[in-house]
Amino acid sequence: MRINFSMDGGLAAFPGLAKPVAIDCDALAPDERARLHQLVDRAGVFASAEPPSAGANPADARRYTITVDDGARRSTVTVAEPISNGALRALISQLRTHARAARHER
Amino acid sequence: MPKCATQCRCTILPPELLLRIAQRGTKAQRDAALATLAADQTMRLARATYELMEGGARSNLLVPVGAKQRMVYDAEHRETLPGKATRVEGAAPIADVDANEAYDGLGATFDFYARVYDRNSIDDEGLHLDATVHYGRHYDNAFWNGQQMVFGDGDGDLFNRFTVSLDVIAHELTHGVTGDEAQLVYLGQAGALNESISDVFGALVKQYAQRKRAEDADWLIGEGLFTSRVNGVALRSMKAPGTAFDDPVLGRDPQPATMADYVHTTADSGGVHTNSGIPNHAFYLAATALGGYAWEKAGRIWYETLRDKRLKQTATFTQFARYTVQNAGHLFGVAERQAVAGAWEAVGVRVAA
Repeated sequence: MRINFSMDGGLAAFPGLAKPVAIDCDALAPDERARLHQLVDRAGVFASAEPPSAGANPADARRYTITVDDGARRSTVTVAEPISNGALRALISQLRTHARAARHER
Repeated sequence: MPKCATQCRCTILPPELLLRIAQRGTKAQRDAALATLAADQTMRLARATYELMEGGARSNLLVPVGAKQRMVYDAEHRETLPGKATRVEGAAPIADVDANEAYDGLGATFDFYARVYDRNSIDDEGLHLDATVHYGRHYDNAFWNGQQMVFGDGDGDLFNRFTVSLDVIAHELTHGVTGDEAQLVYLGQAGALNESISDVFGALVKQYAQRKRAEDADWLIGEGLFTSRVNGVALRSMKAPGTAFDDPVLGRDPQPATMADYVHTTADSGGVHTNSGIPNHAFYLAATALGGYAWEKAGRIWYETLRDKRLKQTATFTQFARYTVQNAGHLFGVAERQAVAGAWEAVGVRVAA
């Protein structure tokens, strides 16, 4: 499973933070791989015919775009904060952690 | 006594007594009172009750009409709003720096609008100002959700706590003012104007608090927000857009100062945080040309333009510029009108006379 994660919006435009981060789940430790699979399942990234609504878009709210590709299926979800769906919030929180780690590896 | 005490399922203590305890009790009493106020939204009930009461009964309450009424909540690192009430209007500072900064920033912004432009809070109708601190974990943002302020702690790596800059707090609250007045859509040029207006009044709230003249101000937005690891001074510079940061992780400040460098993009709602550099710089040029305290002339002109009934929700830079020039003439005179027209001209926005 591969996850492409990007964010834009927020209080200021940071070109460096807006760059998409690609996460190759197969390259992760088994625990973390299982965790991401579970978060993706719970957030219903593939399940819902209709993607979660982006809802209101308050000024300076950050917006996230997640594309998940598991080989057989590919699905994209875009959502703005504040995120009411708890499962989606948990997934994004974990992806933010990965994005932070990716920035440090550079 | 408010009618609510007998008719609603609220606590046995009337809300205003709880409020008094939350303000003046011992620490244990304050915590208990705050928890009660927050638990079933009694605070909001108290506010609604207050608004329903007759004038005579109101005078017995703590809150005079037109006074600021703040409440700071602690999300305790969750992402649910508003969180646990932690500091109520009139209460002494608490041990939490973020909560105190949020409280003070809400107050400074309220005072600025009230004293300088005779505006009674965000909606000019005395809206109570609420803020939640410690939102999420390592959360790198602050925003106004239409009802309240939300502040993250920052990740400590790139960003410090988001309550640290007064202009950022005023920037966010000004989104509420714009939402109440011109309702500029958050897209393209109208969105960049929306952003710029928040920067303009964010900067003015800071300058007013420091009693800085236009020529002595730093014109930075969000100074102090970056940790020492970041190569940058602030989020944006109104004096020199595009120079606020240039960092290996964050990238380089993408703001243009003039129309020649206008950025066409679909990201960030059509570059609202990027192209705002152009009207930001026009304001800086107008304010420094007019001299003195920027909130007195330039700020007044921009404020009256924000409230100008002719200003459409989809306003372009040119339309907004034209009204600022006209309002400068109406409010002050020919010299001011020329100074404002010259400022827009310098950033490449032509205003037909």
